[in-house]
Order: sequence, then structure tokens, then C-alpha cells
Amino acid sequence: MKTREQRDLFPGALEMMILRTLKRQPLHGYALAQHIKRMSNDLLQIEEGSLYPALQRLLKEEMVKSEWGVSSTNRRVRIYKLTTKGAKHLEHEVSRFERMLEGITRVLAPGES
Amino acid sequence: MSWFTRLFFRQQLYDELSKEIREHLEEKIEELVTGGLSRKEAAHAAQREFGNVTLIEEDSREVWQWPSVESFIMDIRYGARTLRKSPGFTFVIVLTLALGIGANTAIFSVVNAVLLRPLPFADSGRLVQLIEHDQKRGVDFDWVSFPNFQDWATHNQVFESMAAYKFHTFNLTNVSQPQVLFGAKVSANLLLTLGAEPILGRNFLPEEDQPGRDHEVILSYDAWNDLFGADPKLIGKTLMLGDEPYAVIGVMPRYFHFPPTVPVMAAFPSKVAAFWAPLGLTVRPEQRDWNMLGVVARLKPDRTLVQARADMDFVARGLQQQYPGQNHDIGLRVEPLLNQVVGDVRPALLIFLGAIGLVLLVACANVSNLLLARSTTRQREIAVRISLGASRSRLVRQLLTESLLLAFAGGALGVLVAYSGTFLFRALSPDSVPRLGEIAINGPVLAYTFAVSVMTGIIFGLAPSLGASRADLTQSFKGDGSRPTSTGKHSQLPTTLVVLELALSLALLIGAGLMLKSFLRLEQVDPGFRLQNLLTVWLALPEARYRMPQQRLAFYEQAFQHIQALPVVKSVGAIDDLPLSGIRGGGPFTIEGSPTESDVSAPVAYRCVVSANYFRTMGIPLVQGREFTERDRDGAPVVLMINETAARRYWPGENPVGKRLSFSTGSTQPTWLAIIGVVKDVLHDGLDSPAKPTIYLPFLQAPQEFMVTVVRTGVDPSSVVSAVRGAIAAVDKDQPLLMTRTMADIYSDSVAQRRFNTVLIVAFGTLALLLAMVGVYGLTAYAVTQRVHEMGVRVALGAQRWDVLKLVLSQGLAVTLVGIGFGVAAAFVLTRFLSKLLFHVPRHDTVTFVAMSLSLGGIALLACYIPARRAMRVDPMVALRYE
Repeated sequence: MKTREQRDLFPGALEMMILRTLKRQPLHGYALAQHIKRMSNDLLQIEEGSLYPALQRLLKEEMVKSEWGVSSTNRRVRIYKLTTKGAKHLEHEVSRFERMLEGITRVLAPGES
Repeated sequence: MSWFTRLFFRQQLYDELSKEIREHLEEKIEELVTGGLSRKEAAHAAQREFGNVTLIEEDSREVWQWPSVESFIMDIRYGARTLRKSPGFTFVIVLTLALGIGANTAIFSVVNAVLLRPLPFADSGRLVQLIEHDQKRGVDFDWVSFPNFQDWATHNQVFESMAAYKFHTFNLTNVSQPQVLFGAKVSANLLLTLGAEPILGRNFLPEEDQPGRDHEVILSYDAWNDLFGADPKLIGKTLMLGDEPYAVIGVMPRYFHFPPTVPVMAAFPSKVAAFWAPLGLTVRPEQRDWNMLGVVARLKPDRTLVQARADMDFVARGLQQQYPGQNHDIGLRVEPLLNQVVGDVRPALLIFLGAIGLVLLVACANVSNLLLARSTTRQREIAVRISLGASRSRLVRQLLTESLLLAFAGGALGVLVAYSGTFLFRALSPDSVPRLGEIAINGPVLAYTFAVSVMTGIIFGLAPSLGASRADLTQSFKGDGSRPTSTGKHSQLPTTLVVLELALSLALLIGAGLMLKSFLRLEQVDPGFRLQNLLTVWLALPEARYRMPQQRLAFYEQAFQHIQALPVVKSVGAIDDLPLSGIRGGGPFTIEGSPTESDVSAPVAYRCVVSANYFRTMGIPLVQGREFTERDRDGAPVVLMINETAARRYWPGENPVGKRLSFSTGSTQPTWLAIIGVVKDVLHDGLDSPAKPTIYLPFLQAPQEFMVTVVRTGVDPSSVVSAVRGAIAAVDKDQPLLMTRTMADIYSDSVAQRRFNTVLIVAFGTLALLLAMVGVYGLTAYAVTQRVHEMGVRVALGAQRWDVLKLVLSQGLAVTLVGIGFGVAAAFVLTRFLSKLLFHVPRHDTVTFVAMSLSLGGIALLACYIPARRAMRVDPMVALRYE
């Protein structure tokens, strides 16, 4: 159920990070999880599992597509790839996020007012 | 992917997902093992990092679903599986609900057909009935005079059209089997007013209302079909009706029934009109107080009932001023036609609906308790679901789905119950209930069933679901799960529900008791004559053949002689308005020498024409004076007899014999008629209606064409029917009988509605009682099983069997007493609705209240006794070994 999404992320944040990661290169679930963890320096408390509902949502909305392949560790894995629609969505979301972040930062910034 | 393909590929999607997640975990574990952990530790760590696998899989799948719909479907599947696993439990519940919902549906289908559905006429909401009303005495006259009808029709501003009708019977002759047709003479615009058209032929033309042009007839569909084999060439042919030729001009559609059966025609209950012929009346001013027509009208589209009433008040006042003699105090009432058709059955039907609703509530309480009892045994399952992450609302939803599933199963089966119920209702209910033929399980009724099922499901399911979802995890896991834990605080809910059941069923039982007592009282009422061994023979002489009074007289005198000559016949008499038959007529009269003018309202009385032997044949005793004899005929002084009520009311403290009265009110030259005798009262309008002042006229001085011949026999009256038929055929072989019925049957019909009401309410009360007893039994049995251990300890510590019994019974008694308390209070309020149906029994009749409370209490204790006896036999060894 959607209520059990990670509370410390805002809705859509995980999807945005997934799309950004996949923009660099197609990955399978486990690699994706490790990458996000590594890049965030473990700052974000994300259950690895929570990736999967997010991936299904993206699949459903055709932001990513998947096909079965073989990983570097020689496993049969499902590799996710960004679609054009996904790329556009990412761009849009990132700019929106940056604007929001800027707004929040300004309010939080000390002094000025 | 469209939602459609998704539906089909979903299983593949789910499989891939599971595989992917498994691979993920494997990869993690492998990596951790490579990092130096043992495989077991690694598996744990991987799980921890990943999160709740089941939940995540579920969440991932949910992406592809319509969450609410699909989880609902899943709940249904799960529910169905759970219910299938305990078939006995499910069966009992579904059966209880099927009975409850089915009975409700059946009664609603009756209410829907009789009260709610519009009459089968175009725009029937605008149809009204006009009834003459005596403003001073507050009495309705069933009929309207022709001159008044014509004035209403011309002077009103609110009606599109106004039509009149009167019942009529025709002897159909010149066919292989002569027979009597029941029908109506109607104004030419009747069908137009009702918005109905013949399916074959044409409607009456306006000028066909005129005398001389009126020999035309429209047949009902059934008459056309049954008598003439639905011959389309019948149109234009001529039928011999009442010895006169009538041209058939049309056939009405099958659904068209008018006039609907009305109380006045209770003597011919199942008859609907077979034909319509023009009224063919000319206005005769002296007939302004000769009430004989029913009047219906159609409101103009922009007029309301209120406006119509105001307008007709105005018209009536005008007529009062214009004809002060005949229209003295005559106002009129405008009522929706549907109300007139439905009439007296409305309160009874609404009470049935309310009562059966209460029965369903009792059933709900029972089912609720069963579910509660089971939910305690399901605590473990619930606890597992909670610990797996099910939220409370989700659990309530799932348990409610189960309840709804039960309710719908009950509802579906209930439709079958209702179907047979409507059959039963139609078979048992008296013919006087209008529109019985229209009862059907149709769209609106099924919608009602659906709504009732949903409501029922929620009502009985809500409490158990809420209770179960509040389960205490630790407690549940500590117990062995199949048996409820005895340490937890006992819920008061089951007890409350049983109290509710007891209260509701007691209220119903008290209602049933009051009805039963009323009916017994009614049956003890003396109708004023001897019912047994009395045959009634109904016939109407055709106007054409018996136009002259002497002809009618000759016919009946001969017929009486022939019947009297039969060996088993003791005596023969005749009357035009037979008691208990629903036929009545009368009007005002003037008493000689009394100040009748304006300030004192004119006396009124029923007027009956009787033959000389009538009173002796019926067994009505003479009180004063003498009876009519053969000598009171044409040429002799005109004489009258009255009943005791008339004597008491209009000649109080005097001897009425020899006093004179006149029927010509307002005339300057009244004809005075002398009273020669007084007879005992007869309950003319039914056993529940007091005797009315009645004036009897001798048949020999006022021969009617319509008379009911009463035959007193020494043997079973139905055995002489063919002999009587032969006797009448010997006088006129073309004269058909309207019908022959024993007086006992007519009596039985006159109480049929009350008998039916009583039977139905008593049945509902019994059903509720039965359900409540199952509830009491269940509660006690459950309490006993929960306390087996305690009982064992008590017995082991030296308690006597009697003490154990007392313990259990006293608890049952406490519940019962509280139930009775609430029940009496409820009955005190609810019997208010019943008072219309009661007869000579106050609605707070103490005897009934006490008797019913005691019976309920006794039966409830009996229901407690069975499980209590089991508790009494508890073997302490066995009981203690349980732990």
C-alpha cells in the first residue's frame, strides 16, 4: 500500500533517482539499489525492496522498459532502460525539483530578511 | 499496454517480479558471503536490508491493479473460501438471512404492487375520485347522484374531464350457455378520462351517452378471449344483453381493469368488469338525492389537488344554495384515485412491513452473535494478519466483505423465499385486497432486496468486525488459538444483542397477542341472525323482461313457492341488501310531527327491502308489533318495519309502532308510512361495525329486480344448490344465477381480512420468538463452554449440581428480564400503530402484556435450561484436564 512508502522521501523522489541513474546506463534491480545507496553515501534510509514497487510504477507508466538479460555476475536479471518518455519526465521533474529546492533553501537561508 | 492485455499478462508480470526479487536477495547474500559472513547470517542481513518481502511484492503487484476493486475481489475470494470451510455455520447464517430477507422482500413486493406502483393508466397521478360527503354528519356517501355529477362536470374549473360509472350486471343470452356478466355502465368519456384506448375497435362517441344511442358495448380482454375465443370479427356483431341487442364496438387491453374491485362489491370479490356500456341517462331533477354513480376525474396539467378541492368546495356550496332540500349539507371530497383503490389495506400493509422489518432485525442480531462467537475462534488468524502488517481498516473491510457475502447469499436465496412467499400471500389473502394480481418480483422489488441485503450485511457485520479488529496480539498468540482465551475481558456485545432480540420479539409477540385477542373477540360477536344452514341465492332480473313491478313480483313469488316446496327447505325469504355482503343503501327521512327543518339534521337510516318470511328465515327475532305478511301488498296501506337501533335513536322512550315517517324530504306533501313492527339489530356492515338504524320495506309493496334469496335448510345448505337452481329454472329457464353461497361462507369472508392480518402478525411474532430463542440458547451455550473449567473447579470444591444450574439459569434469567423490560417499553410505543387493527381490545391490554411476557420468559428459561443441564453434568476431571 502506498502509505508504506519511505516516509523520509517525498513522493516521486525515489522514482526521480531511479530515472537519473538509468539515464547514465541500463541496470538491473540489485545494481540500481547499490548504486543509489553508494551515490547517496548511505545518507538516505532506503529499504532495498522499496525499489521494486517504484520500478513497477515506472514500468506501468512506460518511463522505463525492461528486458531479461545476463548480468556481469552471470545472473539472469531484468535490466531496466530509460525510455524517451522517461527521459522527458526526468528533465521535467528535475527542473521542478530544483525550483522547489531553491525556494526551500531561500526560506531556510539565515540572515537576509 | 492496455488495461485489457494487462489483465491477461498479469500473472506473468507477477511471476517475473517474484523471480527478480529472489535473484536480488540471492545476489546480496552471495556478496555478503564473499565478504565473510556465514550463509545464514547473510540471509538474515539481506532480508533486513531488503525489507518485508511479502509486503513489497504485494505493493509492487498493486501497481498493476485497481486497488480498491481488486482487493475487494480478493476479499470476496478469501471470504468465500473461509465460509466454505465451515459449511454448517455458513448454512445456518444464510438460511436465517434468506428467511428474513425473503419475507421482507415478499411483503415489500405486496406493498410495491398495492401501494406504490401507479395505477396502470396514462399519467395516473392526475386521476382523482370524487365522493359526496355529508358535512354535518361527517359521513361519505359512496355514490353520487346523476344531476349532481352533471353540475360538477360543467361548473368546475380544474378538471380536464370528469366521468361517471355504475356497476351493472347483464344476462348474456342467445349463446349456448346463458350467463351473468359483471361490468359497468359508464359515461362516454370514461375511457378518455382514464387515458385508456381499446386495442380493437373504437371508443364511445360523445353522443352515444344519449338514451337510444346507448346500445353499444366494449368488452374486456378476458371476456373477449374467454367467451368469444378472441375473435377479431366480433367487432360490429350484436350480443343479447339483458334481452336487448348491444353492438360490440371495441375490446380493451388486458391490463385495463376499471372499476377496480371496491369494498362495495365485496359480495362479488373476484369479479372485474367484463364490459362497459354507455350510461344512457337523462337528468331527472327529482333524482338529485339518488346516489348511484362513482365519479372519477382527470386534473388539468397545471392544477393541483389543493386547488381542485377549493374549486369543488365552491361548486358544492353553489349547489347547496340552489337545491337546499336535496343538497342540504352535501359537500364533496377529492381524493387521489390510487388512495381510493387502495383504501383500507394501507395501514395493515405498512404494519406488516414494519413487523417483518423487526423480524429481520432479530435475525441480524442472531447472525451478529454467531459471527462474534466465531471471531473469537478466529483471533489467531486475525492476529497473524495484523502482525503481517494488515491495517485495522483493511481488516474491518475484509470482515465486512465476508458479512456482505453472507448477506448476498441470504438475499439471493431470499428472492426464492420471496417468490414462494408472494404465492402464499396471494393464496391466503382475502380477495378484498385490491391489485393482488399485480404482485410480482420485479425490478424495484429486487432493488429493495439488494438494498436490504447490503444494510443487513452492514448491520450484523459491523459489530463483529470492529470487535475482531481490536484483537489483542499477545493474548491471541498465547492461547491455543482455536479456543477463545478465558482471561480476556468479556465483551458485553453478545448479551446486548440478545437483550435486543428478546425486546423486539416480545414487542412483536404482544402485537400478535393483541391481534389474536381481537380476532377471538370478533368471532364471539353475535351477528344478529343464525348463520348455520342458510343458503343465499343471488340473481338480478333483466330490465327488459321484467320492466313492470308485477312481473318481478310474480317471478319471485313463484320462485319462493318452488323453493319452499323442496323437501329439505324449512323456509325462504329475500332481501335486497344482504347483511355482511358489503351492499348497503339508505338515506334521510322525515319523522311525522318532528321539527326536521334546518337546525336538526335529518335522520338517516339504511333502507332494505325484505320479503314476508325474511326475518323468520334468518332467525331475526321480532321485538314489538308484527312482521310483514302476504297481505301487505299493493293496494293495502304502505307499511314499514325498523330495527331496535332506529327505534332507540329516533323514538327514544316511545313505542315506535304506529308512528309514521316519510322518505320525501323537503317536499310539502309527504307520503306518510306507518311502522308496524320492530326487529332485533343485525350487524349489517360486519362484526366490527355497530348496528345502524335500518328501515325495512315489504317486498310486495316495493318489488326490486335484484334480490338475494335466503334459504333455511335442515341439511348442509350447499347440498341443495342444484335443487334451488332447478326451482328457479322452472320459473324462467333463461334466468341465470349470479351466484349461490352459504351464509357461513359470506360470514367467513367478512372476517377474512382480519383473520389474514392476525395470521400474518402471529406468524411474524412466532418467527421472531423462534429466532430470539436460538439467540438465548446460543448465548447460554457459549457462556457454558467458556466456563467449563470454572464449573469443574466449583464442582470439585463441593458445589452441588443444583448450584451450577442456578448459576447458569440466573444469568439467563437476568438477560431475559432486561429483554422483557425493554420489550414491554417498546410494545407500549409500537402498539400505537396497531390500534387501527384492534377490535374491543385496548392497545395497552394488561392481560396480553403480562401473558406474552410470561410466555417469552418461560420459553427463554427453557432455552437456557438445555445448555445449563450440560453445565450441570460437567465432570470436574474432564473439565480440569483441559488446561
